[in-house]
Amino acid sequence: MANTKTDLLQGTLDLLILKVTALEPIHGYAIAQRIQQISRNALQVQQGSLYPALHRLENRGFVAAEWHESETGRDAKFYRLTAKGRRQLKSECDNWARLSEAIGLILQVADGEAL
Amino acid sequence: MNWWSRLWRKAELEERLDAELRFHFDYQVRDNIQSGMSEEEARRRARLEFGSIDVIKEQCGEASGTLWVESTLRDLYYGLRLFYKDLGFAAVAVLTMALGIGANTAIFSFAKLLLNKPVSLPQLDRLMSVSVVTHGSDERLLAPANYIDLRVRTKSLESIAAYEEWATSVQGQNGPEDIHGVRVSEEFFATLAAEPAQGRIFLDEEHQPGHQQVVILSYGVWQSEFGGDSHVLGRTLRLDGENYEIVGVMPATFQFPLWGQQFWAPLALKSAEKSERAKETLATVGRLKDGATLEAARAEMETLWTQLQRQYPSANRERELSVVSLRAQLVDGDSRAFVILLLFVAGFVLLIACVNVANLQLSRAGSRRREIAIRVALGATRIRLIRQLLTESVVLAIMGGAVGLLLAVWGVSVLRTNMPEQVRRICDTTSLRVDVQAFIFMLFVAVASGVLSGLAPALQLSRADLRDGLETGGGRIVGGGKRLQNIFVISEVILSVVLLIGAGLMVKGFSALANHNPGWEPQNLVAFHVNLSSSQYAAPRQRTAFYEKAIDRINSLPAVQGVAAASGVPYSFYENEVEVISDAQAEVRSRQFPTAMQDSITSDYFRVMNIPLLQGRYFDQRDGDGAPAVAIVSESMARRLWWGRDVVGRKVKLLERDADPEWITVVGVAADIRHEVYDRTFRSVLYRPLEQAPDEAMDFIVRSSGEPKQLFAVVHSAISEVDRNQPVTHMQTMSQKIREQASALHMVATLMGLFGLAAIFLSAIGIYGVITHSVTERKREIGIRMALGAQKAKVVKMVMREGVLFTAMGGAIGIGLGWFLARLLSSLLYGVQAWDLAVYAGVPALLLLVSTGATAMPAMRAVRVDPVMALRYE
Repeated sequence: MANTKTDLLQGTLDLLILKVTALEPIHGYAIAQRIQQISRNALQVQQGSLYPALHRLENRGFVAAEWHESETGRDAKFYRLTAKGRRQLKSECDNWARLSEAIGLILQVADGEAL
Repeated sequence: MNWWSRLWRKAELEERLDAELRFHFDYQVRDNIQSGMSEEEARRRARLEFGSIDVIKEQCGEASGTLWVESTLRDLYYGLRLFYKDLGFAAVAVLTMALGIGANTAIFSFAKLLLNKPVSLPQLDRLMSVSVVTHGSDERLLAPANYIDLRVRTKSLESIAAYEEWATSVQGQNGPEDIHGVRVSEEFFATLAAEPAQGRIFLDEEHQPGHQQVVILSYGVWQSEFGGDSHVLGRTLRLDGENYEIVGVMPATFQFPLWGQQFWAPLALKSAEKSERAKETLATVGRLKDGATLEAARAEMETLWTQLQRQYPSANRERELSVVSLRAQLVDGDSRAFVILLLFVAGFVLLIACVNVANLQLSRAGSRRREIAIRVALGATRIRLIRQLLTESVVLAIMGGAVGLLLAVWGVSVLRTNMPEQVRRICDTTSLRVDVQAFIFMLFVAVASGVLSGLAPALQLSRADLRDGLETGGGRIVGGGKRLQNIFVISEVILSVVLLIGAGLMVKGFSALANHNPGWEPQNLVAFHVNLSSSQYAAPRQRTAFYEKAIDRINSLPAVQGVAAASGVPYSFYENEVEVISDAQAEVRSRQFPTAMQDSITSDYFRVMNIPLLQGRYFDQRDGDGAPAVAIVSESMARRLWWGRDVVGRKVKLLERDADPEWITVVGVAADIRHEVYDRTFRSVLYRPLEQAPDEAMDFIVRSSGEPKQLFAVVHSAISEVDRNQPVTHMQTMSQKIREQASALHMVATLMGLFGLAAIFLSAIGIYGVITHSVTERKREIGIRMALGAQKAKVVKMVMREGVLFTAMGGAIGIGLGWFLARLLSSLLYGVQAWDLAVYAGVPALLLLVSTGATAMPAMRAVRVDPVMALRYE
């Protein structure tokens, strides 16, 4: 299992969490599931990274948390994006777009072309 | 939510985090089951994937920014937990450090006061004192005429003041009472930059003879005699039957000079006194001009003195001037040396304490290896581990510091209230407080030693091979630590032996001085002082009559075996140095004359004191006023002047400057006696009959057949019967006198004794700790030996050999070092030789005894171990 998962780039987990929480309030387990599903199992989020990241984002005010009943009737902690988080998400998305475009440009160059 | 409230609501938050993670875990399990795993497998998978919940929790805490506080708190909690988990270790470590910190802070505070600021005067550094060096006397005084000349001529001093002691009496409720004052010259208060709290200082005209009936009260007398009366100015103080108007009150902080002064009066020199050049009576204190150094003042004074010597050769010939800082004048070299000695001794104790704490930490580190190994296995990082151990050490050090501070406060207050008279005369001990700087320094040393000693095991432990630590599970320590511990113990023993030798020499010397007096018997003697200074005793005849009557009265009291008087009895700080010429050297034109202490005595003096007469006769009725002058000399004087041969019948005369004195015939030789505690040789004493050498102040001695203290009241009333208004002072038993004079020595001896005991106690703990530890370490070995049939006694011997070996090694080095140091410091030893055998034999014996005790306990415990248990231990 461990060898099939793609390592997340440093800092990208925060971006993914912000993106997932932007849709609707969601609890930690669902966040991990959602990331896994959307990425078609390419990205697996470890609990050891997920929860510290969630707490860090909560601490910085990008997400807010509330406890209420989940779909199974059990109480869970639901995270939702705050206004501040929305701004952060936008700027990180822009960052990401610039970065991936730049990296894409470099990678598109054929082997001989660079020299 | 800020970090504080997060911290505050920590439990609630943890619960929430727990619930959140559990929710995740349960969902994971549910999904795993849905994907077709058995429940058991589903849980296992989920747990594997989850990893350590505690690590996640810690990381979440870290993410929310409170971890450092939390973990520090947790470390503190672990540190404190140690106190109930391992109370013995913690208590010993805290006590050890407290002892070192407390003792050092107290001694350091005292030393700093004595060496730095013995009197609380502003700009003490600028104050100095000028005096003539008097041969064989500690007193540093100046003759009035010389003082006046120097005062006028000096350019390097802003001002120089003179003062003299004035012991007088006031009429108290129970008859006349002693009161000590100072007569001061007009510059006195200005020189010291002292302002009265009330009223004014003396006017210039009040220093003229006939106008000097004014006084300034000390704060103490204002309170005790006048009840702090706010209208005290203008009231009168009756001294020696004369009225003195109170013109001022000094603040409580002004204490100068230090010899128990209670008031100040103007010094009004009569014209005859102003030209007195031969008799030194005035003490001086001067203030250096801005920019002038003490060296410059000294050079100037020496030049002026040479001029005065040339101008007045007869009076100033062969006298040296001494210019010293006021601080040095108050605290002489010997006192300074004693204090520095105490500082070193206290430092030794601190050193031993630190070594001990380090040692205890090392021992504990060994037995905690398993715990550490488990922590590491559970994922503790190295830094985290080191931090925890360090926090523990710091907690220990701080607890030690706190208890040490209590000890220091207590110690300082004990020192302050028990300061002997001798020390109070050179240092204003009422202002002794815990020196904050000293305490902080000691605390720093303690914390540093705690941290350092905590650090070594921390590094060692975290380096430890995990598996080894878990498997053997024992308290094994790596070789380096063990060697370090052995070195620690041996050096502890060395330090203790050195300290104990010093303490032993001091204590033995003091008790020898206090209890054994060659030449005479101090037991059952009462001494008191009578000063016939009032006008009715102006003529020597009147004084003689008083003494005769007083002696008769006291002799008729029951329980009195004998009574006599002398101008100076032993241990009364009596000095009356005279230069003498003997018939043997009269022809030799020597410039250097022998000196002797002249002591006027009544005829029964030797019999009452039990001083043996070696040759000749006692004084008797033949030796009255007008009869041929006679003297009895002490053995040492007979030897120094006439080589001890045919002394009776020899002649001697006093060297007087402007007169030709009569020859005095020696009629007897008395045995030598020790006169003062700090005398290193016997004095040359020239005893004279009172009738021929009348003195206005005399010490009486009364030999009692029973408890001498019971005579105090009756002797007092006997004197009152002779003269109702005559004060009697310094009524004490001779033993009290000796103790009082040796009080500084007593203090040093007591403190050193206490430090010595502390040292031996700490060393015992050190040895005990190391042996206990090595027994734990060798549990398996001991078990095997016993299982194979080794006898208990043999095992005990094997264990104890180690402890005894340490003691022997440390002891041998310590004795050598102690002997070397004692010889170096022999100038501070009184009543004992630096090589006193009893001390050098007693100290190792005591140490051996203590270390045997300290090793026997763990050794006995070792053999009580069931061999099966010991073997199964691992």
